[in-house]
Amino acid sequence: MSGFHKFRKRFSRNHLAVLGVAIILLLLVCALFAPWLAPYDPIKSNIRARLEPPTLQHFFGTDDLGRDIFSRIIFGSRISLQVGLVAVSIATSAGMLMGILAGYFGGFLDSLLMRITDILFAFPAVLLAIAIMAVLGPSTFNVMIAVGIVYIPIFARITRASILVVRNQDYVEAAQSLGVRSAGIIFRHIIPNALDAVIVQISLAMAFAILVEAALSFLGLGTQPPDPSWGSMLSFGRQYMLEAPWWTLFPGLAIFLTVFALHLIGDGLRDALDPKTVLE
Amino acid sequence: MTTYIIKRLFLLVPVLLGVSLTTFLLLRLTPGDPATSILGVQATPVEVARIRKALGLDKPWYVQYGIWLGNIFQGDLGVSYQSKKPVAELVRQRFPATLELTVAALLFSTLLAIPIGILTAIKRNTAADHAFTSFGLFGISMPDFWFAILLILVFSLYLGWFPASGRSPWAAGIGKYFKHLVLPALALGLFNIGALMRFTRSSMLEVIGQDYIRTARAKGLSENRVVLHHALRNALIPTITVLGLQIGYALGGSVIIEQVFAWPGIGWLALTAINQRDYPVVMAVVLINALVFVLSNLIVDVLYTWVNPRIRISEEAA
Repeated sequence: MSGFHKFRKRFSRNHLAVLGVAIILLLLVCALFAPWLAPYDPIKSNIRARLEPPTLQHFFGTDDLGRDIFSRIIFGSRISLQVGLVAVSIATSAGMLMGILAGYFGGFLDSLLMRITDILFAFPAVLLAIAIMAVLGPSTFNVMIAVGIVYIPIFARITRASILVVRNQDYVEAAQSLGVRSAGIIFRHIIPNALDAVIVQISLAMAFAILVEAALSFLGLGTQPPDPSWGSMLSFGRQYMLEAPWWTLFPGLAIFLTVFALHLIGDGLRDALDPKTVLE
Repeated sequence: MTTYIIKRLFLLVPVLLGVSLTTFLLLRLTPGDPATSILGVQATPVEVARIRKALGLDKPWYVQYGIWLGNIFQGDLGVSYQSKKPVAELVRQRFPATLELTVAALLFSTLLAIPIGILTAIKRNTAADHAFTSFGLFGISMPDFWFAILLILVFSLYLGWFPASGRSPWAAGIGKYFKHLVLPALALGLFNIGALMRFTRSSMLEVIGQDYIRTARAKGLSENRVVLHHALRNALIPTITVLGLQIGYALGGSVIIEQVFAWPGIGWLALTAINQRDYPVVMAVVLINALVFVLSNLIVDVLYTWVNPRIRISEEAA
């Protein structure tokens, strides 16, 4: 049985991880088919239907402008998933590049890159994201960049640590002594063997990215109205907590479920990729 | 050990310089002018130029940074562009509020998370384990600002047990002080409970599977003695490092929690200062946050070395 098949078997035996995948797939369907799934226009207001509680017409009720919260949550999934995917892609590619260069070449380059990660680590993550957003200006695209930058050092550290372990393995030394070029060794031998830890981190980083996007939008620094971000819906709904609790309840639940699902997947990946589990 | 601490303290200097330089450059890249922010959009270019000169903003950025750095070494954090008060005074007023919120959140969450983490490891695969493990996942998945809103909705607006916002000083009575602190500390500490509980559990499970624990059991020691005397001590060592990281998370998280609960700490101060382009205040708050974070990590590392004989011995040998 190939390594991938073994991994897939171990992962699919973890029911919670499978549940996590199912939730994320559902979210993906919502994001891709939002215009067909949402019963109402998420931006169009209808003052006659303002602050209506959940009914059969409006499953999750309406906001102060009479907009359907269910439709806004469906469209909001596009923003959350986009931020998660793009931010994590930025963090993974930049962080892995830094980690590979630092871990494989060592010396001055390693010291320099690790000091840069030390500096980025010393910032409280949310404060750094807020500062970057202040520079770039509030928008969904800028949130992706800000969150991506914040998460670079973690990927750099994880990749470097994995590279350090792999670099001294016999098969790498054999490739070096055969005269294989550094790029060839890195891409053919080192990266595939250092990927496990990065893969686990990707799902956790996506959870973090979605939380930070929601937090920044909640503070008014992320996605701007009238675009339906879950975080900004929470922020506006907060002012109507007593009259319309559904306005804060459902967007919060959407964020929670998404992050929860990503953590379930992360746990499942970690268990399936853990060498100790493999030995068992 | 002393040499190790001194060496680590020296290594903090370039990190803190890097943090200050990064923040400084980020602020200079931020669109908007502090002078316009002070005078308002109606101000004439002459007035704006006068204020820029008075604040030293007409000088090249590296000169401005040099002046700021020189002042920092003399203990001068500058003057707020908006309130015209010394930044040190603003920080002195606001920092205790953030500190007490962070300490309260970390204290209660640690006291709760570690025993639960141990319990779930000992009672692995029981109903209690599944329930608490799910709770741990809930803790790390819950957006803290949403949890804060729910706490306000239930415990302040519906039940009226706790105030929805603000901070009460000691002098106004200890009961009132704690009533104001409970909800923000709960909201800020929830993530830490989940993260620490999960980490303690997995760390404890790893230790329980070790040969020396099997030997202790084979010797006929009671289960309590095996767990408390042998397993716990070793399982808690890696947990200490996680605690160090949680301090950074709690400090960052306090920016949002302070905003939700109108808690007058430095997180809220930083958020307002960023929006108002109040450079000296932002610089000071970021630097203080970074300093607290790196120092707490240093303390955690020292503690880790101290409680772990293997590391201590290798340090002494080196």
